[in-house]
Amino acid sequence: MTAPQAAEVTDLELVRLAQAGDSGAFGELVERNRRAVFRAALAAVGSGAEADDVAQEAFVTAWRKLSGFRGDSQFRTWLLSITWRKAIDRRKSIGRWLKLAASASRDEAGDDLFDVVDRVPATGMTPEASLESAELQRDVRKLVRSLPPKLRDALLLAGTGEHTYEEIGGMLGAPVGTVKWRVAEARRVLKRKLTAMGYFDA
Amino acid sequence: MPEEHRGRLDRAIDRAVHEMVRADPRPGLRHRVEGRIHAGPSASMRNTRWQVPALAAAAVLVVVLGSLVLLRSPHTPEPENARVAAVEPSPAPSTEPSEAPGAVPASSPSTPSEAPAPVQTPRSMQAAPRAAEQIFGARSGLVRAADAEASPEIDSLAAPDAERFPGASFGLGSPIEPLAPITITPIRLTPIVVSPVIVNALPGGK
Repeated sequence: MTAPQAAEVTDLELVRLAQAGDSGAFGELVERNRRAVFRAALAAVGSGAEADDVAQEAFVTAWRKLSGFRGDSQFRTWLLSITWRKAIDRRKSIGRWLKLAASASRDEAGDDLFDVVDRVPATGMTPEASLESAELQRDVRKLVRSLPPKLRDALLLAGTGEHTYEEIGGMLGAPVGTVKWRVAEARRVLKRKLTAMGYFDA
Repeated sequence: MPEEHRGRLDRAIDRAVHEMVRADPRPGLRHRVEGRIHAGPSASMRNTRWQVPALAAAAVLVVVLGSLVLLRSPHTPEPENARVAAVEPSPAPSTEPSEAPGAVPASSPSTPSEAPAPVQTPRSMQAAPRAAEQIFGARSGLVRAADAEASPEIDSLAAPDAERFPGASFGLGSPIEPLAPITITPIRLTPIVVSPVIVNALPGGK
């Protein structure tokens, strides 16, 4: 299937082609959903390398289970639910937690846990303001990681810019209203802790 | 808290969250996925193939170890204890055969199928009176053997218990006495003294 052809067909049509054995059609589905899948995995596992592995596993699993997809829901929703389950399994693994501990110790020295990120350049800031901003960012990231998983997952998934609240609710198994509450609660907790750390005086 | 500070913290949170999750996968994800798909289940199931035999071996090991532990548990002393426990209540139900005459032929001592089974669980302790019947047979028959003609079969069954637990031989020799355990010593000596006399008399006299 050529690129112009692929751009004209819907996800469901690509799914039907893939179910008939067209791996190229499934490749197009991968291309269309790779960012959403990767960012969902990244929100769960916190490491770009791990998220890349999870994304691959999710796509391969989706390919294997594609014959069971009836089209009752959107392919993207179905794919994201697979991705989230894979990511949570990865997060629960012992090795993952060992790596997290090592990464956390690295983070104490100034490195980031989330190692695949596009840094937002701090332009137009004085060196003092830039230094202060960097310190604040580091503290915010640390506080985000210390949030309860339910609040943290909702906040990070909402922050990806790739998922609707309905999709997030589908991944987390929670109603949309609950997801919105968790996001708001996560922000409240973060701000309260930052205030307690003295940032409101700046 | 002033409103500008709230806005600053909100912006800081937004920026931190974006930095944490707004990333793109490494280039070539589609090709990596297609590569794994075309590689087939042999490549993707490599771990599973590894794990299935390992899990099966672990399961077999657990079963073998469990069997060894069960076999090495103290089974052999238990039947002896069970016999003792079975003999202990014998004085109390000693009057039962007279009340239930039909029970006497049902508990013949030499039936192989009724040989004392290895007692392993407390359930066997509940069946202690029945075990006593299986070991020593009906009490009326044992009394006859002890009094007149010593049966080697009965001796071989009763002697070990008599050595270990005097109450056993006492119970066999005096089924009429319900309070037999209190007067163990005098009655226990009777079959020991009588038995060699009878054995000597049988080949010499007839």
